[in-house]
Order: sequence, then C-alpha cells, then structure tokens
Amino acid sequence: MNRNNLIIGAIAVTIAVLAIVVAMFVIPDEPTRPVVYMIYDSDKGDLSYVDSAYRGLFAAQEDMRFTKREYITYSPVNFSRLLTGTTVEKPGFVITLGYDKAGFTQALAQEHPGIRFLAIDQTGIGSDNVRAYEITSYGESYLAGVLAASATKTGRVGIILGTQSTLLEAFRSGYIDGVHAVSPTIPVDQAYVRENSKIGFNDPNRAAEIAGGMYDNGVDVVYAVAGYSNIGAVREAKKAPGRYIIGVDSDQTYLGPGVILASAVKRLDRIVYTNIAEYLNSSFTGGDEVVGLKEGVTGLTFNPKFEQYNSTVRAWDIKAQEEEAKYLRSRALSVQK
Amino acid sequence: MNFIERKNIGLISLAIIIIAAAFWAGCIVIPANTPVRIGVLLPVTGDIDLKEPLEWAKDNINREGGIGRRPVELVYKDTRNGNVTLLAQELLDDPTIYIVIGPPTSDQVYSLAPEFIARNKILISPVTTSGDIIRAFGKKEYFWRTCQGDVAQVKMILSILKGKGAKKVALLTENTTWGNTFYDWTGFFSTEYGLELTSIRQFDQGSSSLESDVADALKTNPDYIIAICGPPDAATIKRAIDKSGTPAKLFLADASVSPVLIQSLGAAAEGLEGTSPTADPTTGFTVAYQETFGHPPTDYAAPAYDALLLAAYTTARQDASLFESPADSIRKVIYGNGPLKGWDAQESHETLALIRAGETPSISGASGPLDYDTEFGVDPLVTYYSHWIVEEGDFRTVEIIGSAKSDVNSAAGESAARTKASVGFMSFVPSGSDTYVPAVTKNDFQAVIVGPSGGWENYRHQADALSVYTLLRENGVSDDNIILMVYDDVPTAPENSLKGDIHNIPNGKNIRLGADMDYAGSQVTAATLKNVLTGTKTASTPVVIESNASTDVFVYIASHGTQGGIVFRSDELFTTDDFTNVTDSMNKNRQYRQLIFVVDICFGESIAMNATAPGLLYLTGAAYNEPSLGAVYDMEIKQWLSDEFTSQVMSLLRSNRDITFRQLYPAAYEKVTGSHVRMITTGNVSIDQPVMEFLKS
Repeated sequence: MNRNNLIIGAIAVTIAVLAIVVAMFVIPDEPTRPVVYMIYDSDKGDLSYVDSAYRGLFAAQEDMRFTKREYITYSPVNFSRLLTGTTVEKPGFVITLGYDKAGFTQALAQEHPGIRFLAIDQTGIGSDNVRAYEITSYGESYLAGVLAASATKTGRVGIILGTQSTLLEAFRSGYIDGVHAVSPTIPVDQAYVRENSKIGFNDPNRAAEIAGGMYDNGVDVVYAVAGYSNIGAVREAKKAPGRYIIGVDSDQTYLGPGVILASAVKRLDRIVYTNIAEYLNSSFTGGDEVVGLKEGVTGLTFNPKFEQYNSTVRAWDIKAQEEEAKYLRSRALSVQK
Repeated sequence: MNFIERKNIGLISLAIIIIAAAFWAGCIVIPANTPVRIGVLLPVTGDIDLKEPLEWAKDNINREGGIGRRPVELVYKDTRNGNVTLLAQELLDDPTIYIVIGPPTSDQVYSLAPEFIARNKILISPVTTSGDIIRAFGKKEYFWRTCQGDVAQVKMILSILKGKGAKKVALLTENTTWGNTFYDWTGFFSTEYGLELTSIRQFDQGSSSLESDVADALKTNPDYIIAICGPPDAATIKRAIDKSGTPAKLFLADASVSPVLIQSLGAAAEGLEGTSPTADPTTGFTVAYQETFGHPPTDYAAPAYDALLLAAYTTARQDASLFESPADSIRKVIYGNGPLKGWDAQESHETLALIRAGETPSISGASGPLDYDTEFGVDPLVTYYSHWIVEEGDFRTVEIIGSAKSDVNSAAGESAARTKASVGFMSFVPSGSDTYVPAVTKNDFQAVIVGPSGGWENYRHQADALSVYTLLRENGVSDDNIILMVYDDVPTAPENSLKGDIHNIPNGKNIRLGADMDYAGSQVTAATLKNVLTGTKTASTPVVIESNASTDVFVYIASHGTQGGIVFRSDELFTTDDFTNVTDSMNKNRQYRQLIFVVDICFGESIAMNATAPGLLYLTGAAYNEPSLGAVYDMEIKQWLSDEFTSQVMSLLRSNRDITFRQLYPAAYEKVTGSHVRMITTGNVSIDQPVMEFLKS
C-alpha cells in the first residue's frame, strides 16, 4: 500500500469515527409527546376542587407520557389566540374546570374541531369533540343531609353555599332532601357567602360570620359548600363544643379533626386521570356524561373520629342513588318544559 | 536541501486535524458518560429528612434524561455523622464537584462559605435562616439559599398577631445565631406594624432562670409572648404562662414544631400557635408530594428540592457556556427573564433543555417563585409560611401566607433582611425656620471617642471608634483635642491574623496605626467616661475634657447597649441617668457651647430620652425598643468591621462634606437597614451647620 492510500484511508476512518460519535452523543430531538392543556378555575392550593383536579393530572403524568400545560382562567379571546397562534406546539386535549367555563369551552370546541375537550362541571355542551361532565352532587349531599340529621343534637342544621348557581343547587336540594328523609321536621338554615359572585368561594371571613350566626341560631351541624371559604366556617365551629361541619370536594378532616364529621368528596382526580388515559389510547368519545354517587365519582368520606355514623349513612346509599336519579330526571323534564 | 517539503507540511496539518478531531470527540464522549456530581452537606439521618425531597428531585431530573443525558448523582456527607468542617473539605477538594447543597446551620455558613467563595465553588443552603447571612455574603456570587432569612418570619408573626388584634407583644428568644435574627428585627418591625414591644430578652438554651424571664416579660402585660426556641424551652415558657394565670398567650416559630412539644405539654399544648416555612400552595408541590409519598412534605422539603434544581440548572448553563464562571452561570439561571417554567419533572426537563440551548428562562420552584434580591442575591424575595395551631394533639395549618403579603413590604427587588425604616416613623426635625446660631463664638473643639467593648467578637466597635478618630484626624483635628478611649485588645487578639491591625473595610488600611490612645483595656470604664466628660481629673483619669462655654464638644460611642445602658467591658453600664446627670453637670459648669453625641448601640434612643441640658444634640442608630445591626462583613477574618449606622454616617460624611446635621439625619435614616435612626435635640444647637465644620478645631 503506498503512502497516499494510507493517508486517504486515515482521513476516511477519522471522518467515520467522528460521524459515529456525533450520531451517538449529540442529543437527538425528542419524539413529540401528545400535549394536554388544563385550564383551572383558580390557583392551586384551594385545598379542595382545583387541588383535586391537579392531583389527577399529576398522577396521569406519573403514569403516562404526555406534555401538560397549565393555565388559570385564561380569557377566551387570548386562549383562542394561543390555539391559533404560530407556536409549534398545539394541544390535542384540553381540560376545562368549573361551571362558568361552559360557554368558553363550547366556543373553543366549535372553533377547533380537531382538539378534544373535557369539560368538567359543565352541563349539556357535549358534542363530537367535547365530553362534558356534569358531576351531580345531589346524591352525596343527600347522604350529607342524612348524616346531619342523624348527628344533630339540637334538631337544627344548616348549609352554607359559596354562591347561587345551577351546580350548587344540586348540593342544596340533595342536602335538604336527605335531612328531611330522616326527619321531615328538622329546619335547615340556608345562606350564600355571596349571592351572585364566585368570590363567595374565597371569602373565609364572611363564611365565618354566617356560620357563627347559624350556630347562635341553634344549628349544630353545617354543610359547608364554599371552597376555600370553608376554612372560615371551620374556624367558627372550633370556637365552642358541639359544633360540627361537613366539608366538601376533598377530605377536609385535617382542617378540623374535632369538628369535621365527614366530607362530600368529588373525585375530580379520577375523572381527569381516566379521560387523559382514554385520550392517549384513542378511546375518548364526546358527549354528555352525568356522574355522581352511582359511578363512584362522588361520595362521603368520614373523619375516623366520627366513624360511628358511617353505618347509619351507608344504609341510605341505595336510596340516595335512587333520589339522585329521580332528581336528574325531574331536572331534565323541567328543561324540556 | 529544503528541510520542510510540501508533503511534510501536509502530513503535519493532517496529523493536527486528526488529533483535534479526536480531542473534540473525547470532549463529547467522556462527559456524556460522566454523572453530574452534586455534593450534599446536610443531615440525612435523624428526624430532619432532607434526603427524601433531594432524591425525588434527582429522580425527576434523571428519568427525563438528566442534564444533557448525564445523570445527576448526589454525593452525601451526612453532617450528623462527622465533623462538618472536614466533610466540607472533602467536597471542596473533590475536583468533580463544584456545587454543594448545604450546610445545615447558619453558624456553619459563616465558617464554610468563605472557603467555598475563595475556591469558586457554589454553596446553596436550603435550611439556614439567619437574617445577617445575606448582608454578610451578598454580592459574593457563590453563596445562595432557597429559603429566605427569618426576618421574613418576624414580619409574618407580627402581621398575624396584629391581625388577631394584638397591641402589645413581648419577645423571649434563645441566645443563638438563629434566635438573634428575631432579637435583631422584632423591635424594628413592631414599630413598623404599630405594635408595642413591651419586653425583649434573650436566654441561654435550657436556662434555669427561664421561668424568671417569663415572669419579667409578663409584668409588662403583653397580649402575646413570642418565644423563639426549641420544644423544651417552649414547653417551659408555656407552663410558666399557664401558672401565672395572666391572659397573655404564647406564639412560637418553626423550631418549636416537634412531637416533643406536644408530648411534653400534653393537653396544655392544645391551642398553641406559631409559624413555619412551607411550600407555596399554588405550585402544587404539597399535593404532588402527598401523592408520591403518602404524607405531606416537611417544612424545608420544598427549598431542598429547589436547591437541587438550581444546582442542575447551573450545571446546564455551564454546559452551554464553557468559559463562563460558575458565579456568572448561577446568576444567569436565577435572573433569567424568558418563558416562565415550573418545578416538576416535565418543567425542569424543559428548563434544562432551554438553558443548554443558551436561553435564560424565568425559573420558579416548588417553594415559590424563586425571584431573588436583585442587588445582593443570596435570598429569594418570597417565602411562604404556615400559620399553625395545635389541635387534637397535632399541628394543623390554619392558613398559608406569603411573606410578600405582609403589611410592611420591602422595596421591590429587596429581601426582607434589607428593609429600611418607613419615613413615617422619623423623629421630629425642627423646621427650617428654626435655624439657630449660638450666641458665643466657637473657640475650641474637643472630641471624646469611645469603643468600650473588648474581645475579638466586638471587632466592629473598636473599628468604628478608630474610623471616627481617623475622620477627625483627617479633618485637621489635633490629637490634643481628642480623647480616645478604646478597649484595644483586638489588634493583639490571638484570632487576629494581622497582628497590630484593625481595618474597617475589607483589605482596608490599618486604622490602628498611629492612633494615640488615652485610655485602653481595663481603664475604659463608665466611671472613666463620666470623669472625662465632666472634666474631673484624678489619678486614674488624668486626661479629661478641658473646655468652656466656647468649646464645641463631640462624643462618639460604639458599643453594645441595653434598654437604658451603654455596655462597658466590665459589664458595667453607663445608664440613662448617668447620661442625664453628666450632661446636666456639663451644662451647669458651662463646659460646652454645643454638645453633640453620636451613639451607635442597640436601643440607643433610650440613653438620651430624659436629657434636659440645653444645647445638646443626640444622634443614634436605633430607637429605644430595637437593636442595631453590624455591617461590612470581612470573610477573611470572619468579623463584622463596622456597625450599620456608623458605616452609613461615615459614608455620607465622606461623600458630602457640606452635609448639615439637619440633612444628615434623614439621609442616614433612609440608608440604615433594620433600625430607626433617631435624633434628639434639646434646642440651642445649630443643626444647619455642616457636620464636618463642627468636627473641626
């Protein structure tokens, strides 16, 4: 072999080695993952509703491979711009939370038929690319009412709601029906933290005032359906013995282990997790879903300290499911009228 | 024959290219197989579990591909099982490690950080909370922490108590570096919040006289006693309060949070309240942690997680910028202003990719936003605190509050430990129409400069006294007109590596050199000062003021203080009564034309509160209810070289020789950190004269 061939061979080997090194160790572009957007009602840290949804998102990301983006109350116009913008990333699945997002979700879904939407607590907007969940809290609230009626010593109970809305009407109706199923004569004091504002879910001081007034009026069990405002009601309950609270959305025992009898929980995390899984395995379908007690999406979680009421309340499970179904039917009929 | 032929040139060039290519390939291959080693200098056994969040952060980074496909490896040095200094040295000497997370205590930061800074290795502490740390190590670039100093916790506690309707609070704090932050700042923020601090006391841990301290505090009728201590002392204080039958309540801080407290007090623990650091609830860290581990995170889990994120991001930045120093890299990471990124596995992976691509995203952490002090670095601007209560035998969170939401906010971009006094709390300054000129013409000037505290740890007092002495000498004042009283043991202290030297700026000139001491060591007593000021010559006080009604007299004192006393080395005090009596005597004997005191001690205002002698002006760095702070930390000798008030006043005088007393007061007030500068005048003092003119023979 002559010298020139040797030199050419050395150059060729060098180039080949370099090419292999570059191919092996320069980091390749990562394969694109499906993109899921979550639009929250408010900041995380509410200790109930939003945290429950985030729990589902977190669990899904631990088990499945996708990219998530989180937003808080994005304005419809800005969000639409985000979806139609020139950024490379586009979501394939968008999750919206909260009953007041129905119009927002519906408009976006119509504008973006290629994107799948999961609309939680948004009634009647199901379509080809929207699965709209109504999580009815009638059944769990019915059980909360049974619990309140079983636990009351004064014979008077109460309910504090964040604000007025169709969604919260299920809580109110279910609770009152549950109380009166046990004892038709028990009075139920009712109040809203704010009549027509979502601030009612974030005003603990006002909730405390209302709860204090109810307790002074002879109420000893209050069903607090007011998100973060519940902290105020719990604070008031702690001020004197014999005052109790039934919490909402997630297990709120830790807020007041001496006063929280139980919590009417909404398993948003399950809905989020399950639907992300279905989207990723291409089994997601649109439409309206009404879920509640029967599907295991809602229920009552007891404070271990008051476990003695569990069997009493459990005995009403079937009845609560039946009443929930009846409530949903009657509501559908009234809509038709 | 031509030695270098063309073909040889070609062969040599080819050889160079092949060698360079192999080197470049090696630079890619070798690091790609090398883990990123990050040191951990923390307890990883025992009841403080910082290993769990660190391992979680590491696993989250590694499962998404590590840093440029290099896995993160944590190199643990368990500070529970070994000499911390030796363990730190092992990490310093390890050439594969250039970022260390730790150490666990503030005292260890003071002893270890200088070495890390000198060796250009980054130290990130997630758990040390001494308020002074940012002022000692700010701008040094190599020390950072992911939890703010406890100055923020002081603000939180007072904010909560004010919200509960408290008007009067008392403070009992353990005499440790941790407790000192609360001692230093509670008086300051009490003033800022409009609360009355009725009593402020320090005690030694486990002190047998603690019950007596509680009794003394209760005599001042506080609504709350704030106790800064561990569980055993907290239990003692609680029992003492309960035994007293007074309505005062107890409020605690994070070090009291322990099952030990509840076990110790039993049912008596019910209703106890306090604060502890926690994660920003809006990050979702607490929810995610609970989901992952089945229990909530401990107080410092989120800052520990964030410390590893910072270390990883800085490493990524170093990958992207080969010739950038680690200090510049971490600054680029921390002060990035690109797209906002979060803390979880996906977000941190994307952040790493962006940083490796040369971008500067805006990072946020598990604990909160990770926005840092823009000038000093070191501290994040916001920390979140849990306001907890003991219920049913356990600690329950009542609410979570961010430190930025307290009523009194620091300036934008400034950590809580750099808070200046609000203008609304300035002393009254006579209006401009009250310009006064003494009737008697000035014929003489006499100065008395006092630095009475001894010991290496009081370096700054002696340094301040000598710096004022230097200022006067440079202003043309003769030694004959200055009586210098300094304990003067610092230049010869065994700890002093520069024998004979005192300086008041790092690497500054020796201001002890040539200083003509009139009294030193055990001669520097309160009795000596009284005689000096009153002109009383004795065998032990041969050098005294020789002055009359045409003499302007200036007195400067830098020392420790109590409420009502200037501390001398022998633990004797020059009290408020002493001050009143001495100045009254000087007035009665017509010993001065104008008498001006500048006093830099804790609780300085308390000394002159009863002054009546006309023609007196008293300028001090701290109000009657608050300590004052050290300033200008020298890492070489590990000492503060000055006091905050004196340091700022000297800076003002040197930068503006025409500044008057009327102007000096508000200027100093606005510059001094952590205390309320006070001016007291009895009238008949020309506050419109330039200070440097007054300080002249």
